[in-house]
Amino acid sequence: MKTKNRDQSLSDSRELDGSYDQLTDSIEDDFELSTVCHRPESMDKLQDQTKFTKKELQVLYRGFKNECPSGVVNEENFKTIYSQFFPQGDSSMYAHFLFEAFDTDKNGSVSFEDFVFGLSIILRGTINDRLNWAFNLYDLNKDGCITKEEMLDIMKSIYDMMGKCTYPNMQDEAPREHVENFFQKMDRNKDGVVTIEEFIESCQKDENIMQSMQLFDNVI
Amino acid sequence: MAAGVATWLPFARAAAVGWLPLARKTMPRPPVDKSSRSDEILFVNVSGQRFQTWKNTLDRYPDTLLGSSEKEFFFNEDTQEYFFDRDPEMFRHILNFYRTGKLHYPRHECVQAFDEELAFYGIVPEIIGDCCMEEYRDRKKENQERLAEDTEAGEATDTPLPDSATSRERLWRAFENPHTSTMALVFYYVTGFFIAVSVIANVVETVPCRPLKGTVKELPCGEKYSLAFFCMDTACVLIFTFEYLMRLFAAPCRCKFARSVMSVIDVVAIMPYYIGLVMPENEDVSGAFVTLRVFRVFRIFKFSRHSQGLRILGYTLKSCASELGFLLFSLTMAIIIFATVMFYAEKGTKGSSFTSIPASFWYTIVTMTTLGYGDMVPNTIAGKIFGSICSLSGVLVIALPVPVIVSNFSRIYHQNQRADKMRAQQKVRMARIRMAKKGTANAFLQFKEDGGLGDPDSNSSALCLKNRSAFENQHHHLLHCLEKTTNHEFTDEMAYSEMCLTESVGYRTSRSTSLSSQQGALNNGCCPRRARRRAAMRLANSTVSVSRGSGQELDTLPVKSTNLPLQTRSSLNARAVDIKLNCSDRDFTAAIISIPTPPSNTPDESPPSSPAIPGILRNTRATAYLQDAVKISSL
Repeated sequence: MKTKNRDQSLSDSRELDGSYDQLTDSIEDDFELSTVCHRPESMDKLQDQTKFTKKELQVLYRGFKNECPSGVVNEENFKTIYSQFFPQGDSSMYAHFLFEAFDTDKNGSVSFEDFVFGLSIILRGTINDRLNWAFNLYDLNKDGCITKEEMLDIMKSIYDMMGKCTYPNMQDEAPREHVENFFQKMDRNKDGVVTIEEFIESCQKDENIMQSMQLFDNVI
Repeated sequence: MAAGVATWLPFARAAAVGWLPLARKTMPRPPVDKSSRSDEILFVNVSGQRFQTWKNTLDRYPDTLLGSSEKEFFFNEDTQEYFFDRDPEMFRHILNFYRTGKLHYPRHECVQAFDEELAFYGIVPEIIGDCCMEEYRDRKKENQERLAEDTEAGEATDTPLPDSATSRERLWRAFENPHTSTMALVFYYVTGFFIAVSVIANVVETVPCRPLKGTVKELPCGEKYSLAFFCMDTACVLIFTFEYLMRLFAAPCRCKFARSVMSVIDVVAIMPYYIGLVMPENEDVSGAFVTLRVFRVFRIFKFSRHSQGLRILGYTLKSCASELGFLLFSLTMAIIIFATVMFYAEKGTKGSSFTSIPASFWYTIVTMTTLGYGDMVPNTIAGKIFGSICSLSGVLVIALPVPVIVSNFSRIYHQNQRADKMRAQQKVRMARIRMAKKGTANAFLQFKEDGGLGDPDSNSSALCLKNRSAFENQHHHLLHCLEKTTNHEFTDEMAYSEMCLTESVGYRTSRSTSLSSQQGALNNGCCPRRARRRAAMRLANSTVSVSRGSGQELDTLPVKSTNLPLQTRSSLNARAVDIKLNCSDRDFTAAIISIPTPPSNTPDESPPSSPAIPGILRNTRATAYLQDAVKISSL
């Protein structure tokens, strides 16, 4: 007789109807939990492939493994973690885009390698590398150019993170307006899309952006 | 923010690369972190067991002791580690909380000890993980209930009444607790006797007696000796009425008393008599009158005041109301079903007793409860089949709720037993504690006798001073200072009890515990409460006069336990640091005594002399003031 480990709830009318037979249900299904455990490549390899030192990799991995003991982050976890930094707004959309950008092999989960490669580019890469990565983030369908719709999605997600309580009050057209602004700046040939070359060229010419790149000093 | 994700902050900051090209303004400069970036390992020594952890791990929860700068207070420069003089077993769980973000409750630990540890480390118990929260809550509730019971048991009924009690309060106390005075006890037994008499009279009334001379018909005794029974009935009712009126008069809240179960029973017991008096000897009404007499049997319920077991039973039934309701409901359902079936099965039979469905109810009930009188039996085959199914199912349906009721009864019964046992044991414990206290007080008096209070330089005192620890010397010096301040001296019990004999019996407990009578006189006048507290303080320095009975112990001790902030514990702990073992031959040992005391009813004033209490017994280790307990330990 197979032992039953489900709750026997009398309130479940399915049992009374006789349409749900617990006795023959296999319980082995319960134990087939997906215990995926991912181990990253050795530290030496990671050191070669990224621009982090050994100590930095150690700190990063410890933090990563603590949050995700199984060694991979799935999108839900990712969103949860990221949302804790932005309590006022809704960061789920932007977290989704980030996830897509980090998950380079498109397997639905971010492993430590993906994580570290991404961080290496952003934090230790050249300005061009960073701009490339940003472009990759914006290009949602990865076709090499950013359309206005894609940009609008990104913009909306960023504005969503602000939440409602802002000063001055958040207007509904703010994202759209911002997108227009962006395209005006970036779209050289006014063909309605921004290609990677246009993007990098325009960014390099923009003083603000270049100066803001110092944002990534001392992050780790 | 959950500090666990603090380690992901660099990632979040890196992700800001997505905002860079879109920003309309320049990004602000990043903060320069001058502190050493590299994570370091901290050593935490908890009562000898060394734990090591990353500093970042502890920093995750900055509002706790370990995560904030508060831990610097425990840093030991010599060994370069943080030292905590706490339970290492518990610390394991605390540290795991930092590591995993989930706090687990170890099931084998006492829930109060666990709570204390959490309070020490600044962790709120609410964050216990879901896996352990149930268990924790259950244990905590159980503990609190038990403590509440104990305080209830220790309170009220056993303590002697204050002088200022009105006669009404005294009367009420006498009714509620018959053991307080002989009068009450007598009254208790008298009422019990009369209840029994009344019930027996009701029963015997109906027994057939020999017929009167000259007649043939047998009469029930009630009619034969109607006058005698009437007199007995009147007497009983008079007593009951008197008792009821007295209780009503004495009750502190008359409306509440009038609505209580016992008073309703009392009224129902005596009403029929009065109604019978009032009603005329009318043929029509006498039928109703006879019915009323049935209510006289309710007098038997008055016994529940005399019997605790009955009360427990009643309470059990009340608490099992839902199970009983379910039993009733399911039985009703089954009865109706089976009665219907049996009726239709037996419909065809000639001369069948199953004349209607309600008539079949009787058969169904008798069968389901496996009584089987046999006055109604099915004749058809179908009827017999259904009848057997009926009896089988009856057993099952009745057997289901019964264990629940039984376990409820058992639980309540044991609780009651425990409460009684506690009360009995309390007295013994108090006596033992008093003995121990007498010892310490004697120490000081002995000290004085030896001339220790003389000039410290003189030779005579050198001998006795040699054998005492620095702590004792200082303590005795303190007591001496007090004597000099008040210009009175501490005396021993015998001298005091002589003084006491001259005082009246009903004096306040404070006076009886004070040795220096003037100190008592100073405080006793205005406020009995304050006097009680001072008595509690003096308790430490004086012998407790045993003459007043155990109640005063419970009186004075509770006052000592107040809601002192827990921080005082560390100061009290620190005090015991410089204790040396006393080699004096007058040493006597007393076991570690813990007195759980009821929470103080006077939270407004805190005893100022609490730091003096550690000096009560010789060689105290640690005296801890917990919210509800006074632990006095000595070697």
